[in-house]
Amino acid sequence: MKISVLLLGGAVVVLGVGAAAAALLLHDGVSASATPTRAEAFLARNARLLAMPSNARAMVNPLQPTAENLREARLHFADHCAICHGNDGNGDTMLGRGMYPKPPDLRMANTQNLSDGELFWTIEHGVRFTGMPAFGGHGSTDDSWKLVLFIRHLPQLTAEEGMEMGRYNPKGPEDREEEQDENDFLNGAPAQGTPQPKSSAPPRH
Amino acid sequence: MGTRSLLLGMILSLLAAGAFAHGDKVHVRGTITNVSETSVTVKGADGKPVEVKLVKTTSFILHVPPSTDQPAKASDLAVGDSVVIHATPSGDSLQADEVRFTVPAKPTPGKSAS
Repeated sequence: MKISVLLLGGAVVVLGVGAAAAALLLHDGVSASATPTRAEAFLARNARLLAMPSNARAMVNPLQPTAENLREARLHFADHCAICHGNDGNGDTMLGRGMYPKPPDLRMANTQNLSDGELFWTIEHGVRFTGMPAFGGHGSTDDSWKLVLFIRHLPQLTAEEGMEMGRYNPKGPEDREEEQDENDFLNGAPAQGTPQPKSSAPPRH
Repeated sequence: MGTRSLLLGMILSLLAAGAFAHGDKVHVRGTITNVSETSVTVKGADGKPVEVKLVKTTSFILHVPPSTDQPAKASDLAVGDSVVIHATPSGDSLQADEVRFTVPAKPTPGKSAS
C-alpha cells in the first residue's frame, strides 16, 4: 500500500514538473516571435555560466585597443555580426527581433559585466539553443579578441563609426540597387513616389 | 562535475531554438514640406504628403553629393530638403529609423531658373 502511494505521488510530481516545463516552453505556442519569460531568461543566463569553463573566464585579452585593432574589429563586426546584433550592438534588427531568445543589447551591463574571457569564449564557441553560432576553429583567434575590444567600445560608438560600418554591412543585389537608386534621388533624380512597402528590407540598425 | 553537467542538461533541455522573421519597413522619399521636433512631412512624386514621426532612436545622415554621408541631427532638417526615410510602421503611423537628406543646391548667380 505504501509503495503504491509513493508511486502515485511520484507520478503526480513528474507530471506536474512536465506540465510546468511544457507551459514554460510553449507559451505563445512555439513562436520565435515571443519573448522569453523571466524564468527562461534566468535559466538561460545561468546555463551559460555553468557551461563556461572556469579557465575561460580568467583569460586575458592579449591585444590592445589600438585604433587599428578597433577599426578592423568594427568592420569585421559590420560584416559578420551586425546582421543580428546591429551596428551599435543593440540587437534591434530584423533577424534579431525574430530570434528566440533575442540577441542581448551588447552595450548593457549583462554583456559588459562579462569578463573578456567570457566574451571571447562566447564568440569562439557560440551559445547553444540560441542564434549565436561558434565562430572559432578557423585558425588565429586574433579576430575574436579584436571583437572583444570592439564590444567594450560599443557604448562609446560614434555616429561616424556607425556610418562607416553601414558601408560594410552585407547587402544583396536588390539592396545595392535600392541604395544606388536612393543615392541617385538624393543627387538630383526625381522622386519615385511614396511610401514604398519594403517587406524584405535588411536590418539597418 | 557530474551534478553540474546534469543541472546544465536539465536547464538546456528547457530551452528552445531560434528562428527568423521578415520585416515590414517602409521607405519614404521626396521633399520635406513640414518639419517639427517630433515629425517630418514628405511630399513624393505622387504629390501625397506622408508624415513620419521622429523618435529618440532615429538617426540622421546628411548626404553631400555625389557620395559623402555625414552625421547630422534633427534640427538640420529644413523645408525643401530632399529626403529618403527608412521607417517602421507603428499602428497607423510611421516611425523613422533613418533619415537621409540632402540640402538643395543654391541657384548659381547669373543663371535664371527655367
